[in-house]
Amino acid sequence: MANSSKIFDLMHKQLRKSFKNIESIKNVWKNTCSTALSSLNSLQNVAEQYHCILRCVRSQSPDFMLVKRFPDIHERIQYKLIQEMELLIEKLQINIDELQAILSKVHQQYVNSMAVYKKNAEHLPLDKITEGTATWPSVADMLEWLQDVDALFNFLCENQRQVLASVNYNNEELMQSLSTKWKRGNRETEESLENVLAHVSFFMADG
Amino acid sequence: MADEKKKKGSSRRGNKSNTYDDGADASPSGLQCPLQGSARVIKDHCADWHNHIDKWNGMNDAGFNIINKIINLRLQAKSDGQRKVEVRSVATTEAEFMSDEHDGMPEGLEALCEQLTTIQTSMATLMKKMAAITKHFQGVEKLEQKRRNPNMYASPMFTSWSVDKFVQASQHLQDMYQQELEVKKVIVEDVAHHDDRDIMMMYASTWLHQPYIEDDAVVTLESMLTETGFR
Repeated sequence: MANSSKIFDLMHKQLRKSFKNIESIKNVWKNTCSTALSSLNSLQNVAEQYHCILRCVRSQSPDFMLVKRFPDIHERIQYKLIQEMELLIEKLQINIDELQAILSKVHQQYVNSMAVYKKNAEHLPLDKITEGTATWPSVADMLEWLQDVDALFNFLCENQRQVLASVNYNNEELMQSLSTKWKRGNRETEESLENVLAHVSFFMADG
Repeated sequence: MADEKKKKGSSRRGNKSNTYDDGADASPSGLQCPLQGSARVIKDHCADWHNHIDKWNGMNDAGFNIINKIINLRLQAKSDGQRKVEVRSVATTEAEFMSDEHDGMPEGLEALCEQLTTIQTSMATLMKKMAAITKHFQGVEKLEQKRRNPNMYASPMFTSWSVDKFVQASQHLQDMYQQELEVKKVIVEDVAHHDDRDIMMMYASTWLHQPYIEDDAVVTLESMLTETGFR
């Protein structure tokens, strides 16, 4: 019996550590999110300019002095705009790499806790690990939450990768919907992170 | 870094006797001697190029802000005008409507246009200074040619460039800025005369991104600065 309670302590200690790590990761993730969104806004802005110019060239309005005087100007300006969009895409790529690093850390928390559980599973009876108190959630719940958070970040990463891969400068509608698509899953992840951390706040404070 | 350059560029005018400090660090061979003659003229003018381009960029940003304001004013006026049409579609006669609609420019537009013209004029003045640098370089080149043995190749001024390289670089920069100035002139003349959003966006974008300043402008300037020992 004494052995079992020692193992429980060990399990709780690991879980506490994992959640504390996740809490610190949360702020890093929020920073990454806001830099990504500002790059995305710039990208949409530049893309809008790009399409305005395409339309100007297509309409060939006769009283447009600039194009009349400088026939090659739209090519030059398009080149500049594409160059700027490329730069922003590069920034977003870096951003995804950062998110990937965050994801790996989150995943590690789940793996570590699960490893401790699996190693000692025979000393952790099912009725005990599903039993929680008013302030301490059960071990099973906490492991599940870690897995949920892991899955959410996985989705974020995959989604953003896909959005970035779909970029096509000539598709105006797509360019203007980038940030909506990019943000998909952000709110859910944030909410469930807050939720989980609120549930384990007493548990973490008791450690 | 920019401050440092300014200091170096202006010391020439400020204090002629204080040449030692300025020139000493520029000697790429490590010789501690003040720069004199052609080398000194070229080095100072390279610093001037840096300062002028810096100033140009500042003016470019200021001009862009004004253009944005002009565009907003025009778009605002356009949407107000449309609303008016809806509100009093039948109430007024066509003649009244026309006189009302075309009675003048949106308030504040003229002032903004004047500001923009002022900026463009300053850019033109700056352009003249840039052109003067190339002229000076060409003068130095001629001088050096006279001094040199006609059978010998031109020797490098600092690290590797001979004078004609500086002339080329300066001419290249000058050509780009000259063309850009022409573009800006057209924008200033025409931007307030449109109320089509796409065209106005193109004007703003063109002003900001300076299509005729090519990618190698930065490289050229940096090469000049590196060559003369500023970098």
